[in-house]
Amino acid sequence: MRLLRALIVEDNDADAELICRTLEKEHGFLDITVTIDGVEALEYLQTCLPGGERPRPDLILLDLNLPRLDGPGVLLKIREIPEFAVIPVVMLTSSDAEADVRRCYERGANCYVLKPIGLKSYREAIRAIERFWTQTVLLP
Amino acid sequence: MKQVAIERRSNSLGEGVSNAARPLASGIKRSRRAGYALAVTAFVVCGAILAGWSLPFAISELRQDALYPSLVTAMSFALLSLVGQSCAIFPSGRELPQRKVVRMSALIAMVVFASYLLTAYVWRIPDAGSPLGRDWGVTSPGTAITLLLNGTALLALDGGRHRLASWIATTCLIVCHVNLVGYLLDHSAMQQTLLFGYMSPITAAIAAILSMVVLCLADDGNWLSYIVRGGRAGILRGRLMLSAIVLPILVEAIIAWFMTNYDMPVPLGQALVASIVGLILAHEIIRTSHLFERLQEVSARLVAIIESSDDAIVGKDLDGRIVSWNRGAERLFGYRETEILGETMAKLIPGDRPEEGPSMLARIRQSQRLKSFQTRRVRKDGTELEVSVTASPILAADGTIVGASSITRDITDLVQINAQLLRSNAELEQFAYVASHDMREPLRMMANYAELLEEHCGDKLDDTARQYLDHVSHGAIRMQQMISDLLAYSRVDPQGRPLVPTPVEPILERVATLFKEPLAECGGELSWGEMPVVLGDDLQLGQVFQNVIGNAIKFRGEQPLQIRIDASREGNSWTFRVVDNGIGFETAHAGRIFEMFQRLHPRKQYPGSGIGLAIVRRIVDRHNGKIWVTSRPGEGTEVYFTIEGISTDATAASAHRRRQ
Repeated sequence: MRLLRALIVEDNDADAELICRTLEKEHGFLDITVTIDGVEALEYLQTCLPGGERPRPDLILLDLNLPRLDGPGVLLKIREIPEFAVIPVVMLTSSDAEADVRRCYERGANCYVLKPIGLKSYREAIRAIERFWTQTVLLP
Repeated sequence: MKQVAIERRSNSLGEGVSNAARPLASGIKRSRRAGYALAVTAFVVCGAILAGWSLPFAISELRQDALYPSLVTAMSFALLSLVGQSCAIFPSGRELPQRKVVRMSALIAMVVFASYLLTAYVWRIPDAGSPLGRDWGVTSPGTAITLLLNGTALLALDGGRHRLASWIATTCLIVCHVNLVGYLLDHSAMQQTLLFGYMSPITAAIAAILSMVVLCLADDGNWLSYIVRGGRAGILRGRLMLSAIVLPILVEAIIAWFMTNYDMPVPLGQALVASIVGLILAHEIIRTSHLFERLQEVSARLVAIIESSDDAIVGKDLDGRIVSWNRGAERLFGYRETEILGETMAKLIPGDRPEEGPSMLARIRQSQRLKSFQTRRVRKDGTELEVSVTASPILAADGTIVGASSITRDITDLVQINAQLLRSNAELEQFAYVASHDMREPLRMMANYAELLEEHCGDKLDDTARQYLDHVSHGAIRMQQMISDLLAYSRVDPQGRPLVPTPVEPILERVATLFKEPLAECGGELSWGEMPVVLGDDLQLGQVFQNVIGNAIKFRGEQPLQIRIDASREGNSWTFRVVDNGIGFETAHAGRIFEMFQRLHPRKQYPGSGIGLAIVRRIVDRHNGKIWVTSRPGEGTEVYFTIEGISTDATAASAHRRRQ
């Protein structure tokens, strides 16, 4: 099992904690960073540029509604930077509005996952994301 | 405020209408007045002449000349005065005694005529001496005929047959005219024929006056009443008629004068020519002036319509100069007609769109009609209006374009309301979005962490505590479901996808596939008859059938479920009927089931939030349809809803496309 570096952009502490716990339970070998808004996420990513102090994350879990800069805005910025354009971005959100779904895919989201209600299904979803991106597919 | 505006509108409409009707009513009044005056004149003259016979004073001079007495002619004057009297009282003569007078005079007129025909040369009354030198007087055929005609005309008038009355009166007038002209031109020649024999000019004149009375009183729109009615057309026609009658007589009189001077006998035909020419001219004048009158009437009606319009109706020439300006335009723009005529349209168009006027005119010159478009106009006081303008070319009789007419409607209120509506719609959408995203987050937290807590300290919690936690998470989940339902309801957007011709059959097939499994489980059966093509949104119609069928399955009874769908056409709309044999409900609840979150059964027994039929109703509303339901407990439910069909034209068009 290789090391998974994940960036979680989530303004809700409780949600972030739940995601982290589930991921930790599933995938023991983790490097998770949580940023609480879009601007902070981009600042963090700036430090991951080649020659920077940190390595590039393998996967980004991005919420839709964020303070300062929202999810689609972050997505747009990430896709503008060639180094980050290849990182898979998973939208993890509560909104099932069709406009939101479209907007995210148009800006290059790799998938759009609705946060389920109920602990069991929530964990199931996180597990599915983890399994898919670490075992099923190859990452750059 | 609104009420005041409406009142003002109805006032102006009233003015317009009465304006158009006024000339007619006053014309009838005027012709009645003329009728009375003429009748009274005839009556007075006849009375004076009769007095002359019986009284040996005052008018004895007259007696010596034209009005020389004879008993028979005295009788005809008595008759004429009777006729005149009945004419004068006629319009109010609906009461019995007055009608009696009318009938009596007509009867006597007939008796006189009969006496002329039967005993003209037998029953003679000694005459005191006539100007023609006869010893025995007899009613002249002319007098008898005019009496008869006038009497009959009166009877016709009394019987309400005005058209017949005016025809008879006109004939009588012609007889009198021929007589009078005969006297004027050649007295002796006149005696040679039946018509002209012995009728004295004064009798002819009075008979003519009485005929004119009948013509004035008949309200069939005859030629004389048109002249008497006045107005520009009436005056013109009166003058023309006068010259048509007088000129031929003058010409003939001059010719006759020369002929007598050169000792030539004036033939009878010569005298008749004047009458005939006058008659033909008069006839032509009446015909053309009828046309003129019609034209006036039509244009008066059009003017009334234009003036009563609340929209500004403006006529322009090809240079854009204003040539007509209705009252609606005065109200809308604030300019009076006198101020604006001759000005160009540029005065009404805001400065920021100078190209609008010329481009409109250019299109008008190419004989294009400008369908209503939205723009802005400036009032006299400088305020701007939101308006919708329709413009079309004005064509001359030969088809060339001579100008443009435009109809401008003030839609400022409409535009404002529309903007408000858009704003509130946008706010609602915003609300729906917030509800979908921001309200879900905390709910999910509640549900998830209640479970997490139970998981975490499961062994430390007793059963009651665990049950409480269960309530928390279930409440959150239910709330979540309600939010989803509310959103689904709000997404039935009235301005959503356009309604297009949609066949219902494939929709039902799709929905049936969805319910295949649940139907198989309960041993139910779903069937439908022939389905039409309707005007709708195919996804939403699918939702309607899905919710209604879903309900039928959910509320099924003990016996095997039967769901049947049929469609029937009423005018341009299709009524769908979905019948099931489920548990049904009391019809008293029929209104409630279409409201949001209304349930007729406990949640434990039949799960669901109660949004299904509310969504169905919203979709049917959006399709301009109606929905209703009938049901009886234990017997089943019938859900009806209507959806607009496509018109037969559209059917033909789509069939045509398919063939191509």
